[in-house]
Amino acid sequence: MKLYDLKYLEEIAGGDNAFKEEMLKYYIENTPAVLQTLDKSLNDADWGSFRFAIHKFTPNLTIVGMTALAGLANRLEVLATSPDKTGEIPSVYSGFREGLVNALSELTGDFGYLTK
Amino acid sequence: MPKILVCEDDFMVLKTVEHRLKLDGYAVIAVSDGSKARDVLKDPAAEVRLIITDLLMPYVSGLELINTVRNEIKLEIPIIVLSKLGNEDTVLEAFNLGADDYLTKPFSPNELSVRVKKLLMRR
Repeated sequence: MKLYDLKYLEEIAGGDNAFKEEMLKYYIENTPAVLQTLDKSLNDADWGSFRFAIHKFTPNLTIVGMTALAGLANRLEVLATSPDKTGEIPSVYSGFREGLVNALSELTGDFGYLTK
Repeated sequence: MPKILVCEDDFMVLKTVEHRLKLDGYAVIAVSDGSKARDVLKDPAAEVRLIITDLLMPYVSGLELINTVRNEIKLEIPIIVLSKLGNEDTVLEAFNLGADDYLTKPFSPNELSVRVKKLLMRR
């Protein structure tokens, strides 16, 4: 079973393969930078930046069908919004990060040719 | 062909909204921040018939944009707000400022089509 599901993206694309590929290329190329931002915000305990970055990224996870990760991202955003719950972020983020790296690796394996 | 202004700073969300609206036959002006949207709306030649805007954006937020549209430029064109689930307070504020409808991100393509069509018919 794949770690991503392109059903939603294909529905939006409406048969336009160039559009679908443009979205996948963007996601593959830009997700590492999002991870870097999240890592840095976590290390700096900068919860405002962390919340903003995860808030912006979550819809992209759903667009490429990484829905379980989108659920974790929503949870991380809630935790980052609550000052008394930020202590839970590192462990939740660790699972989110590992899952995202694996899913991105799989997506890159299947569509990485778009970035060349 | 009605012209729709879409304002969203996330590239993938912006492109998906734009793509769906184009498939539905609308002309789309897609911008990535509120200040660019404001510039478009201040140009009467743009003839925008509907606005779809994100709320949380750098420079000029969606709320500031709605306020500008309703109270500064004084346009009555419909506004749909794009928001993630869990942002109810901000969505309510958007309605208080003059937004007409909202969609959660990521949106349902069919829901977007129906809501846009309905608002364009209403005005």
